[in-house]
Formats: sequence, structure tokens, C-alpha cells
Amino acid sequence: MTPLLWMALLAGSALAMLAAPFVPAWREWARPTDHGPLRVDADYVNRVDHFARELRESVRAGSYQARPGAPVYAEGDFTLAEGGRLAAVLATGDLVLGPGSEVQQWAHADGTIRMARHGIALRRMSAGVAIELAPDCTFERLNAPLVTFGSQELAPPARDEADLKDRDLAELHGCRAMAPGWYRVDGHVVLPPGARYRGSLVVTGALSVGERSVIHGDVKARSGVVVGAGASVLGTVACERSIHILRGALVRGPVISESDVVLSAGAVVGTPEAPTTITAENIMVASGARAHGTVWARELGVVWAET
Amino acid sequence: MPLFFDQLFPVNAQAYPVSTPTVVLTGLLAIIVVVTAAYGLRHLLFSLDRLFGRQRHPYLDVDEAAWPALTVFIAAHNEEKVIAGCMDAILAADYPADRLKIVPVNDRSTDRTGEIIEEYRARYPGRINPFHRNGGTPGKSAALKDALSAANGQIVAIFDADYVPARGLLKQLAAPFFDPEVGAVMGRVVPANVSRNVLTRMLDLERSAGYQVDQQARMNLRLVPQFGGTVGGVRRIAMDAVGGWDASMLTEDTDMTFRLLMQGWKTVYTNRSECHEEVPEEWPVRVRQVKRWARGHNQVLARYGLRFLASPMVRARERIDGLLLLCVFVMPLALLAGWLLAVALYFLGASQVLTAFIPLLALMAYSTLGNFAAFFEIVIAVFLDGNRNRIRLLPFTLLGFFVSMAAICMAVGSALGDRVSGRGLVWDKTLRYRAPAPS
Repeated sequence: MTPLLWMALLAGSALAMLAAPFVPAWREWARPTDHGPLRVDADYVNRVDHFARELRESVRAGSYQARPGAPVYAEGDFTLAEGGRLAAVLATGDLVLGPGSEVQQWAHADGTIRMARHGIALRRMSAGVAIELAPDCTFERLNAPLVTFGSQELAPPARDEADLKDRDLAELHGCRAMAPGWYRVDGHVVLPPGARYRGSLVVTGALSVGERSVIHGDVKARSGVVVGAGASVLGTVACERSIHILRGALVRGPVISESDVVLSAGAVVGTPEAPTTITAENIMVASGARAHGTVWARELGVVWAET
Repeated sequence: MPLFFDQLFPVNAQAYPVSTPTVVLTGLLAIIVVVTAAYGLRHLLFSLDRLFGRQRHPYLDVDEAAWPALTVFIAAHNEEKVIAGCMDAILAADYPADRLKIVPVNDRSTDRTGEIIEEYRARYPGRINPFHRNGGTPGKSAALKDALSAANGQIVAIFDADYVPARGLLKQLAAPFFDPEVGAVMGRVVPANVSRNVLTRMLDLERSAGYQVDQQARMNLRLVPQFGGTVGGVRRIAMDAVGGWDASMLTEDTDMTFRLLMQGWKTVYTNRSECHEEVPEEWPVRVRQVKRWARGHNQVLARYGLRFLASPMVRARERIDGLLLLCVFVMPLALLAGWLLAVALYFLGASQVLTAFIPLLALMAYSTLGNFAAFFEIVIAVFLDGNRNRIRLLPFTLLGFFVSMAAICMAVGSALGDRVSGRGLVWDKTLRYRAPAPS
């Protein structure tokens, strides 16, 4: 072959390689096969009782049929025996789940759900009145005006602010103001016991709230939060790592962790008037703690009997 | 300097004379190659993170709380075709009505926008609270700044009038504000008019990569997710602390992102808070949009670049990512300069140097196709979205890349021209294509 022919061959090959990706591109342009917008569900609302509502609608419409494996619809109370398993259940009264029983998809009761020891509540569980989980139960997503874990014998501590000493977040070492009443501290912070603070605090290290102290605001720490025994945070507690809410402590706002939340006995999150959310990868709750609203463990929630 | 060549190219070092211009140009080219490589690696890191990294959605599960008082601004300038749809969607939102104030911001409209808003005010008394603006500085920043006096509560959410939020979107956007470090929240923008033509299909790919991969990866890696000025919200106390909207800025969203960050406030991206928008269907409209973005972005770079780097409230990783983000509209110029330098070096006889640099430069040029979304980000985004065949259009993004490069060069040129002549900034509104809503 002549050099000219070699050059032409080289140029032709190069052009062909460059043009090759444009062939499917051209085809897709000329005859589109995948040109719809990404689907966005205009009616999407994050409701824990979504499936229960659907089932209720199908019962009302007369299209519900009881068959093995289908969600159970119970008019009034319903009891699942020890070791029993269900895919899903809706009870218009109370729902009692025996020891070692398992709900695999969802459970909803218009009244109260009581789950005995070693029960497993996968996916969602919601109730119109309350959910009561015994020790050694595991869960993922719970929602009710009142969610109790284990025995509720421990009396809630008296929350009297009269003897608290008023302190200023701005006085914390290394504190910078992000906005009026909004502060950030680089490093770790230990708030003393029996103090009262007003304002919101962001900590780049770990935060420890002293026993019986009260914060009228939100707190966030990147490396860990401990809310001391009997302490109160009247806003949010957020953390990129673990949050420990110790014995008798109260958090009124959401508890948001990117790893774990540990609730000790007598700890309370939310109030009956203002239910809220606890969300984390893992949630470990001691017997005697309670929450109002949602308790959502993305991986695993466990109730244990604290000794 | 000969030592440099001796070390790099020991065989060929003596094969050609090393002149001072060659050394200078080679140094410049080396810098450009390193910087473009940094962008390429950043995009690669983001893509890998979206495939294999831990995905952060820390606020998505907050479904019950004392929701904060929220004011929704609907930015509207001659939006008669779309304003009704946006108001309908927000009226239907799953958010406590007593905590929600809807404020359509009618900014100097000359069409039926104001009339439609008033019809809605009459139809929904107490729920629609219009803010009519008949004069003042043009532009969204200026309009939002004026409208801020009509806001209630701690959070301001912003939607452009062509957006149709889903019912649950407001709660998704409000939830991150429970975190006291969050100053702004951004949702995902999804093109609705994808099928119109090749431009809209390319923009769909670009948006998909920009949000599904780029923004979410920056969220995952705790870098600098960007507030986009729509489908998002800002905490009022944070906004006030940094001086509010700046009417002199063309891209109020980038401006707000960086000013908040310098004061310690984070911007959060929520990938699952999707909302449809219209993308430009005509090239001139697209060119104007890119020019505006480029000018606004570079305006922020010039005004806050150094202050951002020196801010004590910013983490090291945020500093690096923020700088790369700020310089994103400078990079096409740098790439162009790199190509010109390569040609110049060729004619200066430094072909051996080019042999080393050109493949890398070409690779990085390829990786920045589409300007805003590297090709592998587009691929991963399309994969994650579950759309397969549309990826065949990827080679066409080359066209978009060159158009963007030209637009950005023009924007820089006009910015320099304006600086010399003292001419003020001009706000270009993006055209709407939807059919007008029935009256």
C-alpha cells in the first residue's frame, strides 16, 4: 500500500471511531425510546399508616378479600398468639401481639398495640392511641401519640427550673455568634449541671449537657451528644454521631442522629401536645423510656431491660 | 529549569532548545492540566461515592414535629402561563395551613400574572398573600429582598413560578431546619419538558448528573451542596445574619450559599425532594441562562473568594470544594487557554512536552464534557434514576459543552466590558413554554 493509502486508512479509522458513539445517539434522537421526565409523584406524602389507609379503603369499597399472605383486617380487637407471624394487620380496636410474634410489613391499630417480649416489628407500626413494646422487642418505624418501652414504673423527675442558675451560651470558651441567640463552639463543650441556657448551640466536637440543666433552644454536636440525667432540651438534639439521652432527661423537639440514639430509662422525647420524631440508624431504648410521635430506626431498634 | 526537563524527559532533553517562552508556557500549561485534573478527579470521586459511598439523608425521616412557620415565596415575572399551577400545588401541600403563608411575588409583570394572583387571593382569602412590585431594581434577588418584609416565621421557601411541588415537598424542605446548623436547604430540580428537542434532552442529562450525583455526593461527603434559589428554603435568622438578599448579585443562590457558609451555616441537599421545572427549549435562551450563571458565579468568586478561603467557620474539605465550585465558570476559559498554549508550544518546538501533556489534557477536557457534569456523572445519574436508553445521547453533550464554553467566554468578556464602561448588570428572564392556564 502507498503511504497515501495508509494515511487515508488511518484518517478513516479515526473518524469511524469518533463517529461510532454518535450512531446510537442519532438513533435515540431520531426515534426516542426514553424521553419521559423523571416521575415525581405529585400526591406523595410520607404517612406511616399509608398501607392501613389503603386497606381500609378497600374494605369500605368491598374489594378486600381475606386470603393467606394478605393483610389481615380485624374489626375490633385482634390478638396474635405467641410465636405467630403476620405480613400485615389492621385492627380497628386494640392489637395484642404475643411473645416472640412477628409483623413483617406493617401493623396499625386504631387503639393500642401491645407487643410482648421478643416481638419483632419490621417496617412500620402505627397506632391511634399508643404502642407498648416489651423488653427484647425489635422495631424499625413506630408512630403513635404515645410509645412506651418496657415497664413504665419509673416516676418522671420533677422539672422545676426555680433552682437553676441562668447562664449565657456566649460565655462558653471559643464561642462565636452565628446570629443573635445562635452560637457555635469549635471543639468539645461540657455544660455544667443545674444551669439554664437560652439560645441554640452548634458544637463541632462533642456536647455534654449537665444534669438537670435546661436549654431553651436547639443543640447540635458533630461528634456526639449526651443529655445528662434529668436535663431538658426544649428544642432539637441533632448529631452526626451518637446521641445518649440519660435517665429522666427530656427532649421536646426532634432527635436526629446519623448513627445511634440511646434512650435510658425514664427518658422522654416529645410531649403529648407536640409529638415529634426520633430518627437514627440504630435506636436502643431502655425499659422505662417513652416517646411521643415517631421512633424511626433505619436499620434496627431494640428495647432492652436496663439493669 | 533545564533540570526540570532533564528529569522529566532525559532522552529528549537535549533534542530541542529550551527558550524562556517555552518554559513559561509549559509552566502555565502544567498548572492548567493539574487544575483540570483536579476537577476530573473530583467528578470521579463524586461518581464513586454515589455508587459505593454511604448516602446521607438524615432529615428525610422526620415525619412528625412541631413544624416551623413557613413562608413560601413564588418568584414571578411575567408568568401568566405557569403561576396558577404553582399556586394550586402549594395550596394542596401537606403542611399545617396555620403555619404556612403563601406569597406570590409579582415582580413588575406586564402580562396577566398580577391579575391571576389577585383572582387566587379572592378565591383563597387569607391563604394567598400577594406581594406586588411595580418598580425598583430588576431581578429575582431584588424582588425577594423587597418581599422579605411580607414573610412570617423562621423559614422562607422559594419556588420559581414554573415549579409544581408535590404535596409532601414542603415538609421535606422544612425538616432539615430542625438542625440548628442548617441555614439553607435545596431540593432536586427535574426537567419536565424533556422530550421537546435535543437541547432539552441534553439538559435533562446535565441536570440529572448535577443533582443526582454532584449535589448528593457533596452532601454525603460533607462538602458544599449548593442552594439553587428555587425548590429550597433559607432560615431567616441566618439570612439576616449575613445581610439578606443582595440585589446587586445575578446569582442570588450561589451568593447566599457562600455567605451562609462563611458564617458557619450549612446548606443541605435533599435528593428525594424532587420538583419539576421547565428547561430552555431554544439555544439562545440557554446561552443567556449560562451567561447569567457564569457572570453571577464569577461575581461571587471575585467578591467573596478570598474571604471564603480565610473564613474560620469553614472546614478544610469545604474550603477546597467551595473553591472548586466557585471557579467552575472559570474553567472553560482555562481549558481554552490550555488548548491555545498547546498549539503555541507546538510551534515553539516543544512537541515532546506536549506529548506528555496532551493525553492528560484531552482526558480532562473529555471528563468535563457538558461543563457542569462530567460524562461519568451523567452515566451514574442516569443509572441511578433507572433510565437506560437516554444515555445513548451522551455524545451530543459535546455540542452543549462547546456552546457553554462560548457562552461563558462571552459572559466573561461582557463582564470585563461592563467594568470598563461602568454599565450595570442586566437581568435576563428565562422564557416559559407551557401553555397558559385556563382562566
